[in-house]
This record gives sequence, structure tokens and C-alpha cells, in this order.
Amino acid sequence: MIPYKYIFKKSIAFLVVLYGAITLNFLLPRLLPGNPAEIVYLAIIKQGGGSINPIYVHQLESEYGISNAPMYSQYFQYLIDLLHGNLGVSIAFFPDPVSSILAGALPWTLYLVITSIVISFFIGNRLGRYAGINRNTFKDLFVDLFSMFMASFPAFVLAFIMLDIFSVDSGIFPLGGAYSSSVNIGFNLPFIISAVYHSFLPILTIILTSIGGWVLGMRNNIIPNVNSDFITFSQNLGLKKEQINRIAYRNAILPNLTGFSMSIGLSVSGVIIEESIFSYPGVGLYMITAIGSLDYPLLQGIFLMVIISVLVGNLIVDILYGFFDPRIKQEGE
Amino acid sequence: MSILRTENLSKVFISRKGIVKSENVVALDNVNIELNERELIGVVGASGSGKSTLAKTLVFLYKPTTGNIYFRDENITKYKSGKIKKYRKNIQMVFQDPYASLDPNHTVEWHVKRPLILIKYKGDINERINELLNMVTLNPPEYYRNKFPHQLSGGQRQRVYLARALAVEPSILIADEPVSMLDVSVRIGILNLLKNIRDMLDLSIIYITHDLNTVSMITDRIYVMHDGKIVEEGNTDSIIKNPMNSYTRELIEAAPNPYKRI
Amino acid sequence: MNHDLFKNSTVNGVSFKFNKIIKPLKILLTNNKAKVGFIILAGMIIFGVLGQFFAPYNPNRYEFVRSMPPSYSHLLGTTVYGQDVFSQLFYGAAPTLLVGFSVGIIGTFISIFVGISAGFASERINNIVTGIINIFLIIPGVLLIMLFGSYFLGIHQSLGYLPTILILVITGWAFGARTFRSITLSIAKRDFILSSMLIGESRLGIIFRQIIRAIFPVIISNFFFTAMYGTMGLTFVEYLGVGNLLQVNWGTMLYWAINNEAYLTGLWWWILPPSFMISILMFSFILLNFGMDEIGNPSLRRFNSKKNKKGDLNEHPEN
Repeated sequence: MIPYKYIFKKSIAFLVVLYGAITLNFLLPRLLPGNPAEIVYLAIIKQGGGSINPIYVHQLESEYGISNAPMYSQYFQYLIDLLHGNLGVSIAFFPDPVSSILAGALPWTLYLVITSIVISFFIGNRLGRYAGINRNTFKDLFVDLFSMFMASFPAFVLAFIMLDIFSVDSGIFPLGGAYSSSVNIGFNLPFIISAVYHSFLPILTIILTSIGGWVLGMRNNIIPNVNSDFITFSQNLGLKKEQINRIAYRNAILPNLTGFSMSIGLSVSGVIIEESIFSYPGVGLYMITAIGSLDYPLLQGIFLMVIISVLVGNLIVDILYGFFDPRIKQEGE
Repeated sequence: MSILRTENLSKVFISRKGIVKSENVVALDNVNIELNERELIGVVGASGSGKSTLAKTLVFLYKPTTGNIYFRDENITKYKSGKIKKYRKNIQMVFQDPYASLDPNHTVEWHVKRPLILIKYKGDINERINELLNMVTLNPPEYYRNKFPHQLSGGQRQRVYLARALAVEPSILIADEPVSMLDVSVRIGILNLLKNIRDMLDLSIIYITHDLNTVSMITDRIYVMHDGKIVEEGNTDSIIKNPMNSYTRELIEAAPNPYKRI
Repeated sequence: MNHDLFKNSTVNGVSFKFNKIIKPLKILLTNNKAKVGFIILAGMIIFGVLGQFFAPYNPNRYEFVRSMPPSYSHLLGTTVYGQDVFSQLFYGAAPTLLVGFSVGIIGTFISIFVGISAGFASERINNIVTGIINIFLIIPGVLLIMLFGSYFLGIHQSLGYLPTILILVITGWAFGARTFRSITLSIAKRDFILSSMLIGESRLGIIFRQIIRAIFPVIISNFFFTAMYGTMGLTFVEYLGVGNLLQVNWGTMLYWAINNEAYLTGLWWWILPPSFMISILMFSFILLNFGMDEIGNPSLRRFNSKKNKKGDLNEHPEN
């Protein structure tokens, strides 16, 4: 049975938050200090060699409230521009439109986020299961200590150390970029190999720094399950140890799945920072550049895109969760 | 004169299934009961018959779906929070599980003291706590006052809870299966206590249970509940000796009897 | 006989009050993880307090030979600006701890307030507050740090660590609020809370007298989690350049080390010591966090713990 009501409820919540984020994005430049509009205005005049192109005047009007039009009409203009995919023009990468920059950067970021979050979820849960089943043994202690250490070491320092050891000193992995310049972009084997090769180090680093939470969470989820009455009952029925562990694991993974949707936000934060360190051409790298050059249109675009991606990710995970958890199917809650 | 009376009291729980489909669970179906001053009545029924829902509706932990509740002939069904608070000073409830109804983080003394403070007890609160603990036969009170719930046995906990409920000085006490979680050996003690308290304090008590043996020991009148309906009511002895309803007969047949062999 | 009993109970009464004061500490020390975490944290605090007096040099002096490797006179060498790394590490401990603890305390207070009121309020309020909590949870923290950080960029100098703490509280309170909401929801349905409603206790009375006490281990555990977030967050705020970079703390040390590419130029003594100090501090917070979780959730504990029978622990009869 498909949990319609549940999906409906989650979709409504998604739309509400999405609308909130879009509105917040409209208000941001109007709330930020240092008058971004003026900065953008001056930047555009400078880039344009003293004269200002009427197209950019329109952008300034719609995005930064420089025009004297009332707030609501600015707001509608902003919404209409958004529907047309018009996010303005970047300052740091003048005169590239923000939407085309994002279109180039977002796929790489999504690739990093999805790959690393999925791998770290699976390995982390397996390790947590291993620790929980062998609890209070040296195996458990070792896994626990490893996870806690990984969770406590500053993530960006680890990234720099990895970069130094594996790229700078030994040259095993490239210093940056998402693929080598010698391959043709497209769906061909050399390109895929090159892309995987370039992303190996960033993904490994993200997994190392995010795996600890999964391991410890899974361990704490599975221990009450291993001690529960129905497991004792299964033992008495004569089920094999491996079968019993599988039952306990299945029960313990549900609460971790809820954590999965919450972890998307954290994971995106991590990826944004790692990208800037590994010079990986994703959203994070552009964000650091945008901050450095006070490129507000680009920052706004990134803010909006990241939030939309996170929301969509959440919606997908929530809906999948609805199929997994039998309680949701029945109650629709 | 009746002190508490219900008139066609119904409670329907709605459990939703899908977008449009929802299923109604009728927990109480036009229940009419009447409790007189200084009376000890029983409500008997198997689990799932709506007994606990009845108890919780009478103390406003649930809102009735339809029907009315009368307290001293005043319709109190539509009472809002402030008035509910006042009404609750007249009616207290003893829960089924004494392991869950006492706060594990507080002492016996705290449990009895809080209601005294809340009703703004005029006299010496310290004395009153001892008096209440004595009343529920926790002797000597000083020994029990600083104990935590987990240091007490089930029977002792239920006595503490009784002292807490009595501290409010209610005129009605609803005991929802007060002995079903206790060892058989201490049940009699608690039931006798209920009866003695009724005599001492002029309380009216509704004793809710699934156990026909205990109900016949202390109650004057009983209501038999089945699927949210009252199926039979009347004098305890006559119903147990001569049940009219087929469900009551089944219930009596099913009650364990030490002299009967299967 | 009676007299004896009476005497006993007064002794009990005194020890009960005594218990009340050292109870949190005693609870902590019943768990091995928490014990180790507590010892490390205590060491860190001593390090941070004493550091201000025992640091060999002024951490802001730029007068030593630049980029010197560790030696007897400079235990952890010097930076490219000619500062003594060891002194910076000493001086930086207190502010780092201060930020971590402040974020932990303020964040926990907010999440208790939001979480408990959501869990104990009507269903509609609960839904609205849950929505707000979820929004804060799913928006990537980096974006909020950037946003609020840039807001304070110009006025950092005059406000000290206040903006940093504020940013981290704003981005960090929602995790705890979610925990408190769900745990309050489950406790609010228990009989001992219903009982208090029946005797006429007000909602506030129930929250302060019973719910807060029942979830006390969770509160402590959450405090350590939020403090952990605060410590880690400090390094991120500094790394992203929206903090106050002129102050000496472990976050700014990392910022300057990374900004001067210490990892490439082989100045390991500049980048590794603050990293490991942060790591150890975080480690102690994690240990305390998980230790308190185990105390609050007895099924995670070892079976042979006899102490819980004596009644120093908050144990619930069910589950």
C-alpha cells in the first residue's frame, strides 16, 4: 500500500519550507549590513567600464531593491525572475549569469554529497552493528575509539593533511579539479575514471569525518535490540546467531534512517568546506570565492540552490522512509 | 442522592487510515452509571471493554464525545480548564500500575506533600503527612517518608498513591484496577483499606476491575461492561448468583475458582 | 525501636540533601566513559585556567625568529609571524573552552525551553514548533554561519566572543530541541505526570518539578553534545573567516596556520598542536555525551552494574 496521506503531508511541508527559503533569499540582501546593493552597483559599473548595461539595471532593481518600486512589486518581480531561472549576474565571474555557474557546479556537489553520504551510511551502520554485537569487547572498544577520534578531529585539518600526504608529497592523487583536462566530457569511460579518480580523496575525507556519528548511533540503537525480549525469544527458538543479529539490525536501522534525512544538511556543510580545500569545482569552491569578493548575487544563488537540494533530498528520504516503516503505512502519521 | 452520574456518555477514538479512510473505535457507548454518596460500586469487564476509558473520562483526562456528566446534579461536561481543576479536587483516581504512577525522582513525602500545598492545607502539613500515611497503614510514617518509590514494594507504593490521592480530600475516588499488578497476597490488604477509607472518610468509590472475585468482596452494586456498553447492573450478590446477561455468565464462568477443577 | 527509626530518617534526610548537591557528579562517575571524559575535561579546564599564568611568552608578541622548529626555548616552535606556538596554545585554551561551554549552556537552555514546551503543549503548537526545529536542522549550518557571521563582520572587535557564541547557538540549538521534544512527548503520557495533573499541579509546576528532573541525564548529555558543537563550530567560524581573527584561540591558530599553508611548508608544529588539543577536548565531550546517554538509557549499560539498585540513579520503572 502506498502511504498517500504521508506523502501528501510531507509534500505540503516541503512546499511551505521551500516558499520560506525563497522569501528569505529575497529578504537577505535587504537585511545584510554593508549595503550589498551599493557594492553590486559599483562592481557592475566597474566591470562595465564606467557605463552600465540596462540589463544589469533591471537586475539591481529586482534583486536589491535599488529601485523605488514598492516592496511587493519587487517581490513579484523577483518571483517571476526566479521562475525564468534568472538569478542575476555574478560579479566575481562577470559577466557569467549565476544560473549557468550553478548549473556547472551543482552536479559535482551533488555527486560528492550523495556518494559520500551513502557510503558512510552503509559502512558506518555495518561498523556500528559490529561494535554493538561485540559490545564490551576489544573489538567494540577499538571501533568506538576510532569513531570518536574521527568525529572529534577538525574536518578541514584532516582534509589539509590528506591533501598534503596524498597529493602534494606523494602525488598519488591530483591537487584539484573534478576531471583531467585531457578527457572529453561526456558519458565515456576515460571521463568516468578520471572523475572518480579526482573525487576519491575528497570523498574519502568526507566519509572519514562523518562516519563516526553513524557508527556510534548504530551501536547505541542495536544494543537495546540485542537485549530485548524478542531476541531472547528468537534465541530460544534456536535461530542462528547471524539470523538473530540480522533481526536486531533491521530494527535498529529505522531510527538511523530518520537521522539520514537530518544528516543531509550537515553533510552539505562538510562538502562545501572540503570542496574549497580540494579545489573541487563544486558549489563550495564558488561560495568561498563569492565570500572573498562579496559576490552577493552568486552567494544568494548558492544559498537558494543548496537549500532546494537539501529540501528535495529530505523529501525523497522521507518518502522512502514511509515505504520502509510499517507503522507509517498503517497510521499515516 | 447521586454524587456522580453519567447520561449516555460516549467516547469515540478516531484512528486515521489513508487520506479519506478513518476508522472509529467506540470505547464508550451510551454509558449510564450512577454513584451515590458513600457508595462503593464496581465496574467489571474484560480488558478492552472500555473500563479505563470510563475512568479517564470521569476525571477529564479524556473529553467525552457525546453525553453528559453530572456532579452533584450539576452538568460539568462543558467545563474548561479552570473549572476542571476545581472539579478535580472532588475526584481522584488511583492508577493500575503503582510502578508507573509514582515519580521515581521524588520521595514518598513529596508525593503526599504536593497535593497538600496545592489545596492550601491550613493545618500543620508535617502532621498531616504522618496522619495520611498512618491512614493507609504505612507505619511508622517516619520510616517511609524519605523513601523513594523504587525502595518500596508494589503494595506499599499503592498505599503511598492512595495517601497522595486522599491528601486532596476528594469526595469520590476512582480506583482503576488498583490491585491487578500486585501479588495476590497483598491484594486483600489494599481492598480492605479501600473499604475502611470509605467508612472513615465518607468517600464514594468506583472500583474498576476485571476480577469478579475481588469485586464481590467489597462492592455494593456493580455494572458489567462489554464492548463499551453497560450490559448488566444491579446488586452485586444477585448478579453474581443469578446473572441475566449471557456475557456476565461467561465472565463468571471464566473467573478462577479454587474449588473448581477444569 | 521507634526512636531508632526516627533517628535513621533524619540521617537519611541530611544525606538526601547532600545527595542533591553532588548528585550530578555522582551520576557522572558511575559510568566509565563519562569518568574518562570528565577527567580529560577537568585536565583541559586546569590547562586553560593555569595557561594564562604559566605561558612562557606573550602569545601576541611577534618578535621571535620566524618559523622556528620546536626547541628548548620554544617548545612548539614559532609561527611564520614569529609568535611562540606553545604560549598561543596555552592562552588559546581558555577562550576555546569558554566558547564551547557558553554555546553548550545557552544552546541547551534554548533547546530545553523549545523542546519541552513543544512536547508538553497542544498538538497544534507541537506541530508548528517541530516544523521550526526541522527547518533549522535541515538548513546546512555553514550557510547560517556565513549569513550571521557576515552580519557581525564589522563590529567583531568591540563584542569579543559574543557574535561567535550567538552564531553557534543559533545554528546549534535545534539538535537538542528535537531530542527534548520527543522525550517530553513520551514522558507526558506517563501515569505519574497524569497523576500530577489530577492533583492540580500546573503545567509549569509539572515541567519544573518532574519533567526536568526525569530527563536530567539527557539534559547533561545534550549539554556536552552542544558544547562539542560549539567547540567544533568555533573552528569553522574562524576557518571561514567570519570570526574575530585577532583573538588567540585554537580556531584562529588553525586559521592562520592554514592561511599560511603551514601544511605545505612543513610547519607541522603550528597546525598539529591546536588540531590535537581540539580533538582531545571534543573527545572528552563525546565521551561525556555518550556516557550520560548510557546513564539515561539503562539498557545501554553493562549488566553487572550494582549501583543502580542503591537508588542514586534516575531509573524509570518502565522501559
